Amino acid sequence: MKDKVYQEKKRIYCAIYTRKSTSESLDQDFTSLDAQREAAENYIASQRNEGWLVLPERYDDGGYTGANLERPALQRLLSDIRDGRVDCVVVYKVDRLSRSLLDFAQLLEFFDKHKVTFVSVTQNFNTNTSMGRLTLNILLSFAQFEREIISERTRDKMAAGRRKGKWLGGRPVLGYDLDRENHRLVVNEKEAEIVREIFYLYIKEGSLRTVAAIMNDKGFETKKFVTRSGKVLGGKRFKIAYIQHIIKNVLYIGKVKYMGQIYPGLHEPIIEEDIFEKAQEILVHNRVKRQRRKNNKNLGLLSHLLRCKACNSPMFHTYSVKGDYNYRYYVCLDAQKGGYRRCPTRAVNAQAIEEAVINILRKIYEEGKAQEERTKPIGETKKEIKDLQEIQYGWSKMREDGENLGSNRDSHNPSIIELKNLQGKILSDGELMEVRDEEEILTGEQFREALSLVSSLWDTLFPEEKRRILKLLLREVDFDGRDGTIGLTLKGSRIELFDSKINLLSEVPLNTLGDPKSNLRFEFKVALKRPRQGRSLGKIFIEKEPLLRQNLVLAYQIQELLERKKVKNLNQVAQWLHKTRARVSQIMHLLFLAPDIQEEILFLKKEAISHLTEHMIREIIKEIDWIKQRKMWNEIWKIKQAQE
Amino acid sequence: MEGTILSKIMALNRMSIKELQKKYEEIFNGQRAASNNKVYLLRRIAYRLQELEYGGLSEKAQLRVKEIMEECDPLNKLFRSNGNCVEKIRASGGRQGILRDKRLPIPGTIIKREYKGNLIEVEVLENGFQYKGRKYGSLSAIAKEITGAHWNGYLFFNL
Repeated sequence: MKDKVYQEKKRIYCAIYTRKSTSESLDQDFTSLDAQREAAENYIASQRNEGWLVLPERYDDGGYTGANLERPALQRLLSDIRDGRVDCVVVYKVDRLSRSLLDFAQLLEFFDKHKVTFVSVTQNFNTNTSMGRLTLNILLSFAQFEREIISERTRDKMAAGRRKGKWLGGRPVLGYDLDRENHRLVVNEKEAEIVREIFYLYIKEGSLRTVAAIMNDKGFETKKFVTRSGKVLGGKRFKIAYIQHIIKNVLYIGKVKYMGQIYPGLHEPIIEEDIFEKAQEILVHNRVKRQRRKNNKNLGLLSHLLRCKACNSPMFHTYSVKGDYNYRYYVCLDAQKGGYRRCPTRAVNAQAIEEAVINILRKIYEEGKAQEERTKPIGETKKEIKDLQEIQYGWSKMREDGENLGSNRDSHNPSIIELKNLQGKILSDGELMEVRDEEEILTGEQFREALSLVSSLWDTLFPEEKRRILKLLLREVDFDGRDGTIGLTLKGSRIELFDSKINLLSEVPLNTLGDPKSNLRFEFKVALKRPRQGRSLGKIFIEKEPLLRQNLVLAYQIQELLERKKVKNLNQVAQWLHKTRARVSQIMHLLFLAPDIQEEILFLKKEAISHLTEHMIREIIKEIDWIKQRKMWNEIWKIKQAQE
Repeated sequence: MEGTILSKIMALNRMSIKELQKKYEEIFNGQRAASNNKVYLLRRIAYRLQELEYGGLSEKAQLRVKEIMEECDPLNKLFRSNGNCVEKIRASGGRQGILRDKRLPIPGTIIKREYKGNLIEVEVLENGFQYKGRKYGSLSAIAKEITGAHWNGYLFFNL
């Protein structure tokens, strides 16, 4: 048994490295190098029961300094380590290997990388032991210290350069070219003219977006330059941020900024100081102090999916609040940043486009389903329907169960398991959203399942889940504001999604583009209406009643208060409501309208009485006789009809 | 018929205020007239006379009034939006009306809430609340009385 363990013990091949800096006595028979080697061999022999073996190669450096690594034997040793022929390096003393802390640390790191241990015979320095590792760490600290000193030195040098007004690298700015040899900025007259115009326009217009839009209209572009690695940057349309950067940049008045401090620069200014100051004033004046951040966590359903086709830019979800209404939009990013004039789409009502997309998906699903039905044997179809019903039942049951998704009793029901799997899939794919480039393409079967969710259970899903499913189904949605075309690009190809014998595309009366192997793209023309939305705070949105109707009901309410003796008199009501007594009387006089007129005010359609003002019926109220009131009321309607 | 109503109304013109008030009580089932204004009394009586003759607001219309009251509640909308309601009650009664908490409806409103099967009705007063015939200074006090635990009154009554 013991033998067996011994046999299985890994053999460790030890390379012995020796060095001597002077070559004086090297011609003697027994040199210092031999002595070092002998000591090391003895040490290895003592470790034989650990499986240590001496490599026959001699790594002897006679007459080389330990201040650098330029030693032939050492380089040979390193290349042998790289080849994996060495497991352990043994030296007589630590300083034989290297006298430079930095080199030493690098060597140790190299050893570590190749899983090579390092042993010094006379100095107890063995990376196998904790003591050895401690020493190693101390040495590493020194090495690190040295490095930091260097970077500090560089930083100081940069700071000094900045203070002297030198250009020390960074993105080239519009208006200047870089003289790489002298590290100087040279005015580029052509671009300088653009910069001057930007300042002039900003002072005139007082709006970054307007400036960006005008510059884009004139066909100017941002600074184009090539990085050292050969990447071409810039040469794009102006956006707000770029313009703002120019306006704020002190470089243009011949100064440089470093750590919040401004120093006179060595380059020529482009802008006069008073113009620059004026622009700064406008910037400060225009700054909007926002009281509340917009809620960007609860994104729209189509966030990251919707694109403006005309500008080829993303459309982001935003909203504005007016009174009790929330107006949600998707806004073209390019238009928002570079001027709205150029973009035909600009903003689109969020609810309208979301509904349109869902409807299209449903249509696609139903068409596909209908075709499948046509080609399938009847029995199979029936079974499918039953399956689907079971899934739906399971789904609703699961909803009721809420959090108890993992409970055991569910696992007896196969359809629920199936559903759980599906949901699991969806969940895991939802996580993929974070890694934006990574895309998982569903198989045709999975895709159809997800699509069926859109069709059948859509309204019961949480917004988060809805978003996930849309992300699974769609690669992109594009909208063209010019003709109201919505384009849906589905994930997966036609062949994957639908059996080859079922050709969905020929049946759906849509304009489809792209070859069958690429993504499916559907195009639809829609007319987006702009519905008003209630605020989505769990409140039920109550339609506003016309003012006249409200006031009539108000009169009844006040009368009720009076009757129940909750108020002493109308004076008190007036005080409570902060209305004049006369106004309260006016409102109360509405009760003198004949009952049939009141009924019409109460029941007629909103649109029908929206033109009626209290002023118009004041004459009627003055009349005591109901019959005469009625006649006057009819007059009003006659006048209205005549007007139309 | 029409003539008689009109003549009745015309006859009102000649009555004194005292007589009008008497007439008012007579046709409004003993309710006392709250006003001494002749024109007002006259109009109310004239309206009532016609109502008795031709019939008043239909039941359907009355329901509709109730419905709008529930749904849009113009009185409280106006009451709360007039800018003089504040977030917190200013305890001392004001010289010019009392500043009230924004969440409170107009005095005289009855707040309803169901708690453990019992319907609780609290009436909002000008300066406090009435519950089971007793006056309370705050809704929280009522909530504590009902539940035995401290409970924010506005939250308890879903205001």
